[in-house]
Amino acid sequence: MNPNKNYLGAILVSLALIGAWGWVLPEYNKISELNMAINERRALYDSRSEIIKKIHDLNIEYQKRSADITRISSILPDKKSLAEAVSAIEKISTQSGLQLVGTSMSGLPSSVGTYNLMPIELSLSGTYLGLVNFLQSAEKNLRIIDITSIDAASGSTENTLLNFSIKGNAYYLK
Amino acid sequence: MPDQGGIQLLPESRRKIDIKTPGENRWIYAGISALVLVAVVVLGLIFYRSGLENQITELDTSLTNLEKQRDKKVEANLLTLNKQLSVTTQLLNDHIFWSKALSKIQSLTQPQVQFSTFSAGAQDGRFEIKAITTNYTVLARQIAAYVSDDSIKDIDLNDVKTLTTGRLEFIIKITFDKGKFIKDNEPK
Repeated sequence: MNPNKNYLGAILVSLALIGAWGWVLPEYNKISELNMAINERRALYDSRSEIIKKIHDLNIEYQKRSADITRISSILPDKKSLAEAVSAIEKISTQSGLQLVGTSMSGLPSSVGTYNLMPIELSLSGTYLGLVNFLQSAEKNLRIIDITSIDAASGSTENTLLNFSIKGNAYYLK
Repeated sequence: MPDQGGIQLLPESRRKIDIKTPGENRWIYAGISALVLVAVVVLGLIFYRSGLENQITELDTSLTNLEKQRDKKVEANLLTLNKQLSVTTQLLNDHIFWSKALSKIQSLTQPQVQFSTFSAGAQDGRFEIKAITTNYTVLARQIAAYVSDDSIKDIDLNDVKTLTTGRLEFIIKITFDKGKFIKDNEPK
């Protein structure tokens, strides 16, 4: 028996083992990582597809109920909508029989949770019944207005009208 | 060896005779087989990896296409609506109804009591009245009427003065329960 052949065989087997260690194992590890990456991407794709489908369905529902959504947007607009607020206040005071003497909506808006407050200050003149009507209308107004304080005082002696100072808040989304 | 006229029995040169024994090459065969096996496995794995990489590329393309399908405006509208719905519920629950409070004060006020001024605040839960009445009996009756209402927590009487007309001027400070006095608790 030629011992050189044994050495050569041993060297070849060793080379095969080194090759297995140097190529097969890293390749196997890479494949494991790729499989993980594929599973992650598939999960991501499935969840995103589902989300997009839900958004699509919601959008169909949104379009169907656009009238209701417009009303909800009026209750709590996503902007300050100052012009609409002034118009609403003027309309309510006129309908209640009160004279709008002064208005201020210039206070700094403060933020509470996910919405902003828009401070409103009104000076009105009229009767007690007018005030009650004004409050009822403000309470039923589509855009939510909360009156936080009311001050009422009689006007000048020859005048039977009362002067009202009303403070409140309207709201809009952040 | 010199030839001395005799017979030469041993050859002058020797030839090496190889004797093949069975199994002497097995280590070589085993080594080659192992090398071939490793090469085949490596090639198979490379081929499989290439397939996986293609799958990843396809999935990435699909994700990009999916991203392109998104309508950001629609999403923004839906998010706004979601916010509006949650905040609106909260605001409606906390909505203040002063008309209800005034109606209650009106019903509890004695006919002989005339308001000069009043001031009300929702945050501190107070209703302050400056009024004129005929006498202390009516004033006492008035205080008792306010106290009898369960939405009124406390009453302070201040600055009672007898006017030159003989009537009484007074200030009443009412501390009320916000949940009952200025909230609409009626079932919808």
